[in-house]
Amino acid sequence: MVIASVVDEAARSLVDRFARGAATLLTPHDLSVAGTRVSAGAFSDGILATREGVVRFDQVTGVVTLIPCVYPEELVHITKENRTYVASEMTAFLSYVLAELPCPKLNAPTTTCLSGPGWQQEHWVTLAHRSRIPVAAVTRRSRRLPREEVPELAATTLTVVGDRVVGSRDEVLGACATRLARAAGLDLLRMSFDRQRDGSHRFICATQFVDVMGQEVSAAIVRYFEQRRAS
Amino acid sequence: MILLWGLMEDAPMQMVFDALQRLEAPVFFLNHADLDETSADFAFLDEPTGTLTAYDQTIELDRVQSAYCRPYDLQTHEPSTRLDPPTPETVNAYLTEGILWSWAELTHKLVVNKPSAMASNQSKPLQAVTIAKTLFATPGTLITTDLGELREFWRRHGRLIYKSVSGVRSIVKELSEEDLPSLQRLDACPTQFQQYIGGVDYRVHVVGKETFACRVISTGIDYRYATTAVEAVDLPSSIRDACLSLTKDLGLSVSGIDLRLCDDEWYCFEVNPSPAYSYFEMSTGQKIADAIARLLVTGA
Repeated sequence: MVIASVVDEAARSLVDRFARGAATLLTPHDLSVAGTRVSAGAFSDGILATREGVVRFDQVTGVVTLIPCVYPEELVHITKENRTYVASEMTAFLSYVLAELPCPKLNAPTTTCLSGPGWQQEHWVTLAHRSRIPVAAVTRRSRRLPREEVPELAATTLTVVGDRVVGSRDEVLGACATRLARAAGLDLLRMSFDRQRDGSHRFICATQFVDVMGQEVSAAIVRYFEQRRAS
Repeated sequence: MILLWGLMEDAPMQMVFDALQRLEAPVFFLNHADLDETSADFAFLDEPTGTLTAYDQTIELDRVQSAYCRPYDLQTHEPSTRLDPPTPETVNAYLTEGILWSWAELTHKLVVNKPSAMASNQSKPLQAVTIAKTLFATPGTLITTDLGELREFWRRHGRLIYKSVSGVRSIVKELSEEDLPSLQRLDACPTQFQQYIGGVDYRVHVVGKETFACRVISTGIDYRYATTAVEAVDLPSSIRDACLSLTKDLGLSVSGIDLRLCDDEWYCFEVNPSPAYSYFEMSTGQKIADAIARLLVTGA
């Protein structure tokens, strides 16, 4: 199950990469379809009704989530004065369902974000530092203070998908990337490293928002779920 | 130094401020409404460092030993004329708020409560999963867009209430025949219905390892919106312990827990991570603010 915005073409192309019928797209609009139900104490009997059909919770074998929350602006079928409230309700519902689905999740939800931790750079840098990955401290200043000049650096971008690292063959970087993803409890994470004058790398930032349009990344996602389904 | 971040007109904040004054503890009060004139200059690596400047006063983060945070939605404190387009002051307020939240999450110091833990009630059914792992009972719950399922659930339980799935505050109401026309739009969004549980309401405030319990006498479905009286009570030790461990399991150091006793069964409806305990303290004389102040001073 791929959870994404209704306007996310990359999500649709990711669904199309799976074998026919193996993946389904769930958008916030699908949460406005009659037939969804879930009962406390009988979670596995729950079903999601979508415009494409019915998805039974016990048939979901994997989830990747490409939205941090349901945005009110997307709910054009809901009256304007109710959109913010309905978006909060849908986000809370998805947060519960995604957390409780027992299947493999590339980016399990947290209390603050549907697709992982939803952290700022300072959170990632702190976690990287605590995971013994080279970093530089992040400075955050209010607008009233003079801005710090940050030099532009060439960055290497890697994406971790399960055990695979896409974007670099550098083993040291790959090991750092995998370690950070594990520390964050994520199987899907994109991160950037800069290159120092001595040739070493330093972690800059990470995000769980990954470009799934990329050939290598989307192939790795498909493989991730196929392998888990097979085992 | 203890950082208080919120609004002084907010009674729980005011009462903790007063309690800290009585303890003669050093306090830096940051008024949420003044974030537009506040400057933060923080560096994040392991324990965050830096300075916070407001009211011509600058404090080093190193000196902050703990924090009590009850900020409000900035939008409700920003005139709309300053939001569209945002003024530099408004941008500063939002930026500073974000920096302070990052600090609150990443510092090793005591923060009442950490933002990620406070978010635990942003999804009531998800919080109920944690509650269900304790000795508390939880009401039968159905979340649905299906009118047929709802009718069957209603028939099975006889009386139902409905309330928000999210942390958005909503008045808990009993489902009645009068609601049938609006239920024709049930497919707009998954809606939460629960078995009605009769009985007596209890509100328990947990502060560190202390508990303060009240019995709530009310005829309303949702006592927050009905005429009520409250009285301090002692809880059975097993219930007291369950409140302490539930608060800890949710990553909180202060909580407000809504219980209902029905036929010798203790139901837990919700855990509030930022409880407005002041009403209960003023009604019963329980020294909840003093306990929060002690927690902030001792850090445990």
